[in-house]
Amino acid sequence: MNPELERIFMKVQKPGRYTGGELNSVVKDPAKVDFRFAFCFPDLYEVGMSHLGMKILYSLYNREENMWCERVFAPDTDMEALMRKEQIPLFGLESRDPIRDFDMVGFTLQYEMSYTAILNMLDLAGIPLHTADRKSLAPMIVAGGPCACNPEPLADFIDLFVLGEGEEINLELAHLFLQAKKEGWSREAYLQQASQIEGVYVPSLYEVTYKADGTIERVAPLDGAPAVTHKRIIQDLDKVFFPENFVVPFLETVHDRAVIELFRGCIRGCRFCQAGFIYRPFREKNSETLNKNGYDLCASTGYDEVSLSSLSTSDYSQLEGLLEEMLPWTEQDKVNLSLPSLRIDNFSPSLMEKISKVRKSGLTFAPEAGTQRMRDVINKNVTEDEVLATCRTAFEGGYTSVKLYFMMGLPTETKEDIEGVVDLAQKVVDLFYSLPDKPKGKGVNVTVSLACFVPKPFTPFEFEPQDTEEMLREKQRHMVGYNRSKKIRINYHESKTSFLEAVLARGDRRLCAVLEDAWKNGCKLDGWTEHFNYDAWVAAFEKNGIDGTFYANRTRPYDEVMPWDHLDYGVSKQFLIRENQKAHADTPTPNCREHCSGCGANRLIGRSCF
Amino acid sequence: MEPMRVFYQKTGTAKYISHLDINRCFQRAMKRAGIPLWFTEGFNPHAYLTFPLPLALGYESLCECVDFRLVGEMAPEEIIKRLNDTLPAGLRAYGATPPVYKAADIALAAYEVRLTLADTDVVQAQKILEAFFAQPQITTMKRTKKGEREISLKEHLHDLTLGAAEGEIRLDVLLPAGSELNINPTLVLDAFGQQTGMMIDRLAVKKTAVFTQDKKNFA
Repeated sequence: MNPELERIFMKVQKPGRYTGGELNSVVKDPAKVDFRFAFCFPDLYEVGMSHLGMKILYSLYNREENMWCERVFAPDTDMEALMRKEQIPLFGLESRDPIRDFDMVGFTLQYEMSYTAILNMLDLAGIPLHTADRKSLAPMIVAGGPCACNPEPLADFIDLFVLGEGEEINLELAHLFLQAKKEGWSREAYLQQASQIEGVYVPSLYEVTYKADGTIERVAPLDGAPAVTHKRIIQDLDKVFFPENFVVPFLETVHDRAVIELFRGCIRGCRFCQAGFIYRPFREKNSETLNKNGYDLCASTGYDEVSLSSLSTSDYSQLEGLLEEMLPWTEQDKVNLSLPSLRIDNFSPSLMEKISKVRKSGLTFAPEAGTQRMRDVINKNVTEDEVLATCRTAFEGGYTSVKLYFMMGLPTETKEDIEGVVDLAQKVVDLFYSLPDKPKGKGVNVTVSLACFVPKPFTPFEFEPQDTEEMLREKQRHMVGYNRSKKIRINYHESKTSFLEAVLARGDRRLCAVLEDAWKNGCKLDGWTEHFNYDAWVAAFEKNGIDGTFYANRTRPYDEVMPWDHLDYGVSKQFLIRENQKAHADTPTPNCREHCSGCGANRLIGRSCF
Repeated sequence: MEPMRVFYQKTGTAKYISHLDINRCFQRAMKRAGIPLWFTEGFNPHAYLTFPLPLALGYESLCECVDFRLVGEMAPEEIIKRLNDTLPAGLRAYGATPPVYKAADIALAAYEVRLTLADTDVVQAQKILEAFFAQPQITTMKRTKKGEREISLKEHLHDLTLGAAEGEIRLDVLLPAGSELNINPTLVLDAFGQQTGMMIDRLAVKKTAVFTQDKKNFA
């Protein structure tokens, strides 16, 4: 082992974040591979190792004999300080080789507040930050994931973005790279060729011009790049690659368990939810495939928990059947089934019985808004009766704590809507004490978790202004003051973070300079409260003469050119406008199973979804 | 329910696995290996594993062990084989037997320490260390469950030898181990650092054997 690394491993907190060597991690002979990929997760190990997408792509690449994919995470501040002091460049966990010597370095864009970590990781790797300053073919810097749907604030730093699902396109890019290497292409030639692959967006091949009012005039493609880049999807989820094993971390990670993916897309269309639109169309996996995926994973990892992952688990049409298939072996092997993302309106007693067979933890539901009017605006099609009926089921099943997720700062929100959140929580408390067969000798805990609404691209609310920080804080104060119950605990998010999220989510290329300056001012792990430094961001905006409120707090007219309008995620802008108008008329939209609303995403599968 | 004790080595990168993490690692390895473990009853059933003598993070060891109970028949050789088929690199089982001694019988552990001192060549380092250990009294503060207290180290340093090879100091020592009094080499070297002002540059510690009070190999 490299003695320098050995020495710093002994000095840092949790060296297991950096040492590699976990079960199922893949070590190959560098002399026998032609393509080396660094999968970079711009956050700490514990967060990154919980991410299913990384596990899929890691196995996908490593299944190819001539390719080697390694994992890279953002080092914590103690490790970073030692790496900089000892001049140790950022390395892949498997080989401990510097990633600047790899062929391709890929970042996953899971949330906006990780962008400064990307710059920090490039810098730690010794890779020039700017696309324009990188001259050789390798390393090619790529990025994908949900935030790639508006990648413009990263346009100066990332060579190419992958839009949509990665299982096919990543290998296509790798093979093109192998050809480029063999034939000695320039990086410009590679990027030009790559831009012809469906789903690849090369930002340097587009020229953005602005109007006097600061909005975008037009985005013009150069060098034969397509005018519109369409995202990629997998047609048949039962045939798509899914890993038979996961790297099993030694450290406890955020989600340390097996994961199976029930479906992609969502039938609901909650108007604030980006995931509900950008992953369309709705496609399910068969319960047989899933049962096998889950069984294989538990056998190869020794995990005692399988998470049934999707955007809305109870919308999986074969859920009861799948649980029946899984119960015999999960019960025998003492494997716990975890069902996140349950909906309030179809949580049945029999479902609850199944999930509580092995272990009973708290239940979490997301009414998202406190009044029916507000829930109609955001198209969260649940009623108060459904919320209460679900909580009754849970209490009667022995649960005594419920967590309820809400948002504040939603379009058209009033004081009544804010008070409605507490009123609803109070009704849940009252319900508990009204039950004759409530669990004896126990009190009830209702936790209200309050997020600030962030308008996102490709949602019907992409046109909406975010509440200003002052408005959000006033609403938080009002809600806390309005609550009279000790059984209700209210947690809320930092509104400054939500503001920056809103700026970056719907930002354009002019924010690249702000991002770079924020990083230079010391921002690198913005998702962590203890590292978040808002003043450093404010200074970065000021230095570049950019007003964040232009991006976050302005109503955007329907005919404005959005920074992401040249990217196509299936749902049409006309549909988003229709949905926005319905929101302002307090009108809900039925879910996709009940009625097709013509979002346009089914073009990608060339048939109707159901 | 047959009690079983598995002996294993923890070397290389595996030395960075903390004690808490090694527990989880073995839970999963036993599960993958299909070893018929006894599970705790009740709210949150889990395999019941105990580690008679926890190892400090960063130490290697040739003599770790884990205790558990079997609910079905499995030969010791089969347990070893199945574990070694599935343990991550750096962890290797080499023995399995019903426990001969109780965990409380552990009294001593042998360590092999390799180190260098910052800005000091190995000849000089050896002299400084020899002088330190030659003192009639060596005391240091040790944190215990009852708070910090001063203990005398000198009388607990058994069979200490010092040498130099390949540009490193090699120190072999037998120290008290177990629940009664546990002194590990880091405590000794911290006392050395505090007293002499010397900084240790590179350090590698390996536990090589565990003994009972009458110096029988812990089995």
